[in-house]
Amino acid sequence: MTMLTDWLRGIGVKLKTLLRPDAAWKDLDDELRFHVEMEAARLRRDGLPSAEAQRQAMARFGGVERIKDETREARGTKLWEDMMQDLKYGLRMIVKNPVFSAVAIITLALGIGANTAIYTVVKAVLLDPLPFEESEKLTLLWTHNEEQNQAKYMVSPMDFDDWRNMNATFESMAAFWPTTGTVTEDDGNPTRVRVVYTTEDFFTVMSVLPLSGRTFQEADGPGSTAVAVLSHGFWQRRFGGDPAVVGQSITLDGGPIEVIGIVRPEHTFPDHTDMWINMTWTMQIQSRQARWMSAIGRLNDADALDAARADLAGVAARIEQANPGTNRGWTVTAAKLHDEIVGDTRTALLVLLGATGFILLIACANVANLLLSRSEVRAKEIAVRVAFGAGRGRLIKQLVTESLVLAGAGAMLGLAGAQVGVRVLLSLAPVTLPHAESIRLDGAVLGVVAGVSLLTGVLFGLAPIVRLLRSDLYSTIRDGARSTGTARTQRVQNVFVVAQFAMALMLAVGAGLLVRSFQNLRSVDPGFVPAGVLTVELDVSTSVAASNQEVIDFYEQFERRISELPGVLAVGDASSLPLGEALDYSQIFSFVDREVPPEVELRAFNRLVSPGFLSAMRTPIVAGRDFNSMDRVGSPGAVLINETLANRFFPGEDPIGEKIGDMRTCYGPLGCLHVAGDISESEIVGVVRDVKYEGLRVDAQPGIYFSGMQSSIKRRTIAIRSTSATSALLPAIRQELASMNPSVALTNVQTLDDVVADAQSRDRFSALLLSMFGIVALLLAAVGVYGVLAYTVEQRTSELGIRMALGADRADVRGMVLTDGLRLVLVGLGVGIVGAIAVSGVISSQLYGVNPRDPMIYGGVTALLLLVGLTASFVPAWRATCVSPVVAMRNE
Amino acid sequence: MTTARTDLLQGTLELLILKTLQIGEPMHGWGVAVRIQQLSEDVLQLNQGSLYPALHRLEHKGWIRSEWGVSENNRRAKFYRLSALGRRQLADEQEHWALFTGAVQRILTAT
Repeated sequence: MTMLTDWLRGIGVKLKTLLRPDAAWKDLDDELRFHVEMEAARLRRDGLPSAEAQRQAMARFGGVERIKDETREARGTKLWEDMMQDLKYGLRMIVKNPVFSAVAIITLALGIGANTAIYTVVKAVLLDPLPFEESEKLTLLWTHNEEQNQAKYMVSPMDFDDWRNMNATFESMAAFWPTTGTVTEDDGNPTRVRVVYTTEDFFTVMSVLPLSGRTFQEADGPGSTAVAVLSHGFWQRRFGGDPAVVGQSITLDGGPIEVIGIVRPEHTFPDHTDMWINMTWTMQIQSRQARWMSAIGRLNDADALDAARADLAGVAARIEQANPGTNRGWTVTAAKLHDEIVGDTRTALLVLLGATGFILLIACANVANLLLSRSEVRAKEIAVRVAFGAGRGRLIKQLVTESLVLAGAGAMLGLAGAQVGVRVLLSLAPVTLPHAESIRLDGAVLGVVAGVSLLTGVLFGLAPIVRLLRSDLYSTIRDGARSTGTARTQRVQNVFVVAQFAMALMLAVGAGLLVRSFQNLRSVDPGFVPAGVLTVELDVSTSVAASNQEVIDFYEQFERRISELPGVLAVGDASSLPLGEALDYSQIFSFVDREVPPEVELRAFNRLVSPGFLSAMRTPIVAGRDFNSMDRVGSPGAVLINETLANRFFPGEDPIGEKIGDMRTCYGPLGCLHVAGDISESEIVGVVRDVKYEGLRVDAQPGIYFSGMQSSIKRRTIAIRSTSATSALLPAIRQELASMNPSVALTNVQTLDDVVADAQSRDRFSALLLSMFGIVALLLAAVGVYGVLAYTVEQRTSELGIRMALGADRADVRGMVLTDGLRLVLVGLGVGIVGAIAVSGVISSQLYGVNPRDPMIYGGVTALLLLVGLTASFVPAWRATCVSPVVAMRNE
Repeated sequence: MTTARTDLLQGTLELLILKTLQIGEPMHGWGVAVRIQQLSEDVLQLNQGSLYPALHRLEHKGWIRSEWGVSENNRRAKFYRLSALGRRQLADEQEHWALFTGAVQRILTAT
């Protein structure tokens, strides 16, 4: 029984040591000290003088540190105790050197946070596969016509049917047509939805399984009844995720349609789809010229894209041979779905990725520098501890723990930063960032980045030990920090500072170029005045009886009502908004009485504007007149042309009065909408200032505007210029619409300012982010040079003291330190300029109207960094002159 | 005879500590060290510090117990005494020691 309690007591002692290591350490200290004192007392009694007794007692006892170590080992709790002790010591070092610690921790946090956030986004967007099975096999298909300058154009149902039947390289192929529809709610209110009509094998091609219900099957092909598959988002928004909706009917475009299934949340192709509906018509309708469908295929072999391209080109050639009238020059292009979705986001993200990589390098260099500086100071402390019997292995463990505590704190802060960073990044991100909603902080990414940072911390944290192994203990203790190894450390630190300034310069140049480019973009004249214009979209496809005249009357009447609202200055409608995502159709046209050389291609974008639209947009009429209410059905056809078209086809001539031939082309299910009635030729009545429809960076293309009152197009965007706030105007507009026709859905409410801001969003994003990185890099580099110089001054305190004692001028001393700093900064900047010029090609595709080697920006950035370097050098230089010669010499 | 500094065999020190404590009253580390030296008539010169890892190892095995008390010169000191488990262990160890030294002796005296 007593033996059991003895054994239990053993465990109890161990537990006490584990739980209260402080008390255990103190007990051990007391015990050992008691022993030495007793021994010394005995020696004194034997007649030894007090000091000698103490010395001999110590000698008989042996190395205190080693004994403590061995004792802890004997207790079997050494590992744990050491760790606790090291942790405690590490924390104490952090608290004792708050500036050093704060700089190191914040530096690491910045490096880790920024990198994790950016890598997470980049990985999610660029590297992760799409959420479809074997998504690398999915390939988008387009038609292509060199002669007509049509790239990535759509395909006609007949051609698509031939592609599908005649190819040998695709497992399967589906066609789809994204459009919109109106869902009528139970209370009669309309909601606009994004509908995608697809061939029945669409979900098979995409390899998407339903969350609930089913997707389309073979039986849902031509001749069947149309049914709907809902997207997860729409199901949640509209039905609150009620599973009972499967099997129910909803009212789409005035008719009932059965909901047969709901797909998984990750399935969002095409983006923002609300529902997919099967095409119930046969592919052999219409002409081969009616090109309005999109196509996607699943390759047999993911690596055989080139073979598939050749295969489809062969198919297209055979179709062309059989149908020279409709398919002359039309071939096929293909691209992987992933590449297409990522698109030109790739370059922007890769630039950011490179920038954050630099930040991480700079941050690591900074931490390394700080630790190296401190290693000089600590070399002496560590040498003393070795002399007292501390094992080197034990010291290494302790230094590593210290570095880990430091790096760990940085990593935690960085993790928090990354959490926020990813969210900020996504909120700032251009609307076009693909599948942004599914991006989460990536653990693997965080692990790698944090690992790199921790490694830096640990490696350079060990510097004092490395120095100790190289030098001998005695000289280290005697000379303190000024022993061998200093020159080597100094060289390493200098290299770090140079590298930091080089990288900071490259980042800042990149930021400068992007900011400049963004400024250029902002000063681009879009061809209209965005401020004060609200736009809303209406679709009267199913709500207003189908006659052309009724459509025209509806819009005319509605706009008259709006124009009478208080504060409204001008109202008009158009088939599409500039800078929007609406499809604009370009097509071949002809002049009635004008000879054009055959090599000149007559192609222009066709758009529709009502008489009030251009004045609501404040788009100037350059020559001739605007549309007016006389340009209606029954009157002669009238068109406006833009400046680009006028300059290209009427250089130095007056285009007013010239006539354009028949433009009544049909677009599949869109119908023959562009010009109503029997207008077979139209007179050019005016020339309009170019409007940037395709994007702010893109030059305007030739364009022809048709009168809204000579067209029966049913979906139009209305622009309202007013002095009222949107919040006051919008309810009034809704009220007018409801009183005219409550079943018409009003959607896409946005101000033109928002439209323009969206168009600039990617450039703003890049410029903002790179500027932030540039500033961070600048700060880190400044800290770097400051740290090294401050340390140098400390090292040279006595030298400087002697110099001043011998009569050196304070200004000279200051100049000497400043020169040291500036030399590093200048070398760094030189290297940076060369580097920036070398990689400037990468960023050039992101720039608008800026030379990637713009000497102004290079010069300005260099001057700024020089100023920062100078400022950072000045503090240590000033401190050097404050050295009192007496104190400095006494230190020696 | 000159004083021989004899390195103690591994485990021997523990045996000596147990034996020293067997005498009865609790002793602190320094007392143990002094007693071992006296009993060995200064043949065994301990590196005094090395006593402590052994003391702590024994305590953790449950063979000795410790208590903080007041020393003869009124200082706070840690006193060790043999536990029941230690008492039995000492008997075992002594037996082993006798066997061991006997065997070594026989080899050394063989001709």
